[in-house]
Amino acid sequence: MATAAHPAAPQVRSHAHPPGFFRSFRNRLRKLIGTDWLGYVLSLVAAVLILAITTALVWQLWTQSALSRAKFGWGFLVGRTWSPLFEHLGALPFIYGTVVTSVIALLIAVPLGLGAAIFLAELAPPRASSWLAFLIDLLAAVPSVIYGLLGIFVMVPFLRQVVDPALKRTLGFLPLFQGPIYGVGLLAGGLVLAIMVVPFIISVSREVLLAVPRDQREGALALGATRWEATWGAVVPFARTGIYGSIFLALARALGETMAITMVIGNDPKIRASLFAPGASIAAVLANEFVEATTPTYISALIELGLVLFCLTIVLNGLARLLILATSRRGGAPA
Amino acid sequence: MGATATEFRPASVHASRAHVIRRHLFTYLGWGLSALAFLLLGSATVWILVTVFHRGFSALTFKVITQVTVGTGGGLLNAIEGTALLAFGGILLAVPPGLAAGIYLAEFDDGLLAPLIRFLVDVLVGVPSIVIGYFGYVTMVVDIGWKFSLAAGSIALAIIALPYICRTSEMAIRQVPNGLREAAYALGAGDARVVMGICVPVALPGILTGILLALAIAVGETAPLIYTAGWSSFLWTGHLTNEPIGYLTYAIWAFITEPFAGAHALAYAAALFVTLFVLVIGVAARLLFDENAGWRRRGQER
Repeated sequence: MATAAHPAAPQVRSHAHPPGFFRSFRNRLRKLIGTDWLGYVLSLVAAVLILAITTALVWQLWTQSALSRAKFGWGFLVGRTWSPLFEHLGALPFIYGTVVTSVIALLIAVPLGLGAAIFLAELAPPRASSWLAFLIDLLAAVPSVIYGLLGIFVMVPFLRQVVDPALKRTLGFLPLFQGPIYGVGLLAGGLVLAIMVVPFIISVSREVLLAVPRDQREGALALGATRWEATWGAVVPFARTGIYGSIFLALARALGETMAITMVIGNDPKIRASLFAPGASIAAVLANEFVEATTPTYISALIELGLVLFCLTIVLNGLARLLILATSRRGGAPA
Repeated sequence: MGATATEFRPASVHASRAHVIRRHLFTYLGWGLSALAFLLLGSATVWILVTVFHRGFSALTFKVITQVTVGTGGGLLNAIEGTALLAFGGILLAVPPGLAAGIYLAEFDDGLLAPLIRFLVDVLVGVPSIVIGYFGYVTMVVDIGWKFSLAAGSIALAIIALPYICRTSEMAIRQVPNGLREAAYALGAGDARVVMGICVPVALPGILTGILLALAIAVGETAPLIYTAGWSSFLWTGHLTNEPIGYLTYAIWAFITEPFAGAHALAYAAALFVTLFVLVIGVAARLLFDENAGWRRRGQER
C-alpha cells in the first residue's frame, strides 16, 4: 500500500481525474492481474454457481428419497393409500388432488384470461391498456399466503353458503357435485388457483397478441371483416402457440402453488369423486406434514413427492417456453 | 378457435340481411364477453386489495408494531424484524452472483455453457418454492447442521431470488445498443471496462427493477422459510445459525387456524404489512423503470 503512493510508482495520467492514491493503486492492480480476465472469471463463477445449485438440488432430492424409492418403487406413483402410521405410502391421492385443482383452475382461468387479454390488446386504448395490465400484474404480486387468508375467511364461507348449494341443486346429477358440503375442498382449491394463475395467462397472451404483425389484422379488415372478426379469426389464431405457452406456464404455476392451496383444500389424502370433498395436493402435503414426519421412510417419501413435483414443473416449464419461443420467433419474422 | 378461423366469411355483396345482423351480433357479443372478463378480474384485484387494507387497518394497533408475539397474541415486532432481515439477507446474497451470471449470459455467451445456464435459470424459476424449502432443510438445516436459522432462511430466499435477478439483468444488458459497446471498444476499453463502465450503468434501471421485484418476492414467500427459518417469538439476538427467526408470512399462515379473534387480527395486520410492502415495491419498480427509461433517452440525445 505504501509503495503505491511512492513518487516513483508508475501513474497513468488522465485529464479528468488527477492521479490519486487510490487510482494509482488500482492501476497497479490492473497491470498485475488484468481486469478483463478477472471480470470474465468472476461472471463465469457466478454462472457455474447456478449450475452447482441446480445440481445440488437434484442430487439432494434424489439421494434423500432413496429409501422411499427402494421400498415402494414405481408403485409409489399409483399407490392409493397414504397412512404414515403403517408406512403404507402412495402418492396417487396427492397427484389426483394436484391434477384436479389445476384442471379446475385452467377451466376458469383460460377463458377469463384470454378474454381479458383480448380486451387489453385490442379494445382498450394503448396507454390505458398498459396501466390496466399493470393492475392485473398486481394480482400476481400479491403473496400466495394472502390468497389463502382471503380464501379461508371470505371465499370458503361464500362457497359453503351460496355457490356449493347452488351447484348441487343445478348440477347435482353429476357425481362431481354430490355429497356433503364443507366449503374447503378441491373446488375451493381450484378457484384460488384460478385467480392466482390468471395474471400469467393475461400478461403473456397480451404480449403475444400485441406482437402479431399488423398485416394479419389489416388483411382481414380489408376483406370486410369487422374488428372482432379480424381479432378472433386472424389475430388470435396467429398468436395461438404463444397463448398455449401461457397456458402451460399457468399450469406449471398451479402445480407448484403451495400456501394458498394448503389453506383451502382441506388436506385429506383420499380420492373422492366430489369436488366438494376435501382433498390434498402434492405441494400441500409437503408444506403440512414435514413437521410430523418422524420415521426415515416417511421423510424419504415426502422428499420423493418433492422430486415428483420438481420433475412435473420442469417438463411443463420446458414445454411452455418452447411454445412461447416458437411464437415470438414467428411473430418477429415477416409473415 | 381454429373452427372460427375457417368459418370466417368476409362480407360480400350477396350477404343476406340476417347474415349481416348475425355478424354484428357476434361482434358485440365477443367484445362484450372479453370486456366482461377483464372487468371481472379487474374488480377482483381491487376487491382483494381493498379487503386486505380494510381488515388490516382495522386490526392495526400501536401494540402490533411495538411488541413481540406472545403465544398467538401480543405484537409482530419480531416478525417484522425477521422478515426484514431474511429478505435483506436473501437479496444481499443473491444480487452479486445474479448480476454476474446475468453479465455472463449477456456478454460472454460462448454458445456452450451459456445456453445450459439459461435453461437452468428457467428451471430454477419454475421450481415450486416448497421444494426449495425442502432442499434448504436437508442441506443446510440437517447436513450442515445450522438448525432453523437466519442463515438457512436467507440462503433459501437467495436461491429463489437468484434466477429472477439473473434473468432480468441479462435482459436489461442485452437491450444496451451495440453501438455503445463498439464505441467503447474503439476508444480502447477492455471487456471488463465495457461491461462495468457502459453496459451495467446503461442497463441499471432494468437491473434495479429486477432486484426490486425479487425483494418483493422474498418478502412475500412463506413455503421456503417454514423448514429453514422456523419461527421464534423473540427478537433476533445476532446469531446467524442455530437460532430460529420469525417472519410475517408465518404469522399469517399459522395464526388463521387458531380459534381466537386476537390471532386473526394479527394475521390480518401481518397481511397488511406484506401486501403494502409488495405493492409499494411493485409501483416503485414501474415508476423507476418508466422514469429512467425517459432519463436514458435524454442521456442518449446529448
